[in-house]
Amino acid sequence: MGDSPDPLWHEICVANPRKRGVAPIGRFSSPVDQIRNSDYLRRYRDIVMRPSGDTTFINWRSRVGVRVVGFAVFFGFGGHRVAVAQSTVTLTAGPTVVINTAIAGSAPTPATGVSTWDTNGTDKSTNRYIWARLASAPPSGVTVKALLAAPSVDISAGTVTLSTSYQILETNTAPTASPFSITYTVSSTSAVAPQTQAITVYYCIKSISSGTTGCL
Amino acid sequence: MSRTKKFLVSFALLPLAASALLAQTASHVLTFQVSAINQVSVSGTPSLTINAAVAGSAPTTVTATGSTYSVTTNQSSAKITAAIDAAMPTGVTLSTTLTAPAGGTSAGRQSLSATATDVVTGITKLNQAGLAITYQLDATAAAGVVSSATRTVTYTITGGV
Repeated sequence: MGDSPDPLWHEICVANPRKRGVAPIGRFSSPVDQIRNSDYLRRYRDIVMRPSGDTTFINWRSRVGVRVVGFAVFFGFGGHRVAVAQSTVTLTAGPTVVINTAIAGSAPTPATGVSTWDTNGTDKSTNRYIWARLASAPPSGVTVKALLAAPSVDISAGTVTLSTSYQILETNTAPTASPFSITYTVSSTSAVAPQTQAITVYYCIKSISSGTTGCL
Repeated sequence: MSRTKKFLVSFALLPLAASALLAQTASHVLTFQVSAINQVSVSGTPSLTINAAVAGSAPTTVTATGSTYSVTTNQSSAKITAAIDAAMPTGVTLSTTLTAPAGGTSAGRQSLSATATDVVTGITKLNQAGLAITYQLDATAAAGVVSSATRTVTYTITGGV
């Protein structure tokens, strides 16, 4: 008892046939799929797993079991926990982007600003996705795009137009040994009057299977 | 613990789970600025020659078409002015007419001098290209024969508000 929730670990709980009730078991550092198939878990009849940062509960019925445990989340229950390492995305300060010129006859020339991102090294897997969204819609006529440079094993989604809905900027994300660039491109139409605005861009790193549930 | 009790405990713990989820999110504050932008450009190399007249009238006026201009502004009530780099010879007049962009107003044909004159006004938050410029050259008989000369016409867009 008394363990504080650890956001870097997934939680797996099982219905242990040798004990009453449902209890968390074991601590694993393997990806979810490896845990799912592990011999260790086959000893248990019913398994409930909830990856940290995910509200979608993954339930399995064991080979010998007939009962499937419903929703269950067990943080801070002491004893055992089955856990999967997870990455977090770290950002340097956001840039300032200034649109101040145009080719006559064309819309104002888009401007760019650069920041950096990296992920910590607790997760050696490459199955993470980096999502991003704007906290609020930009002014009418203003478009904000982001491009995440990708380490060798990652796959950048290329330049993505950001909106208030989460979109994938990078897949196959693995821990990074050094920061990589985020290039923001802001464009505006001629209808946009001179102004200065600040807009928050949220980033979330999660597995694709869990979507963006739990992201800000 | 009964099965029912387990279910209830699970929901009671959901707030704890939610707090853990937030740790996966980071954010940037992106500041962007749109400055006042006013741009105009022209194309074409017009040439005008007066070499005829109707007997009893002044030398025949000539015009040159084919020149164009483009404009971008993100302000309201911008205007374009035109001026030449040197005065025209006595009795010779060079004029220009600019087609107005959408929402703007053309000043019509305007004689050019070293002093800037408005040729288009009321240009508001637009970008438009390929707008026509027409030049006209007039001469009086008193101007006599004038050697070939060039003038540079400078168009300037001035931002509004």
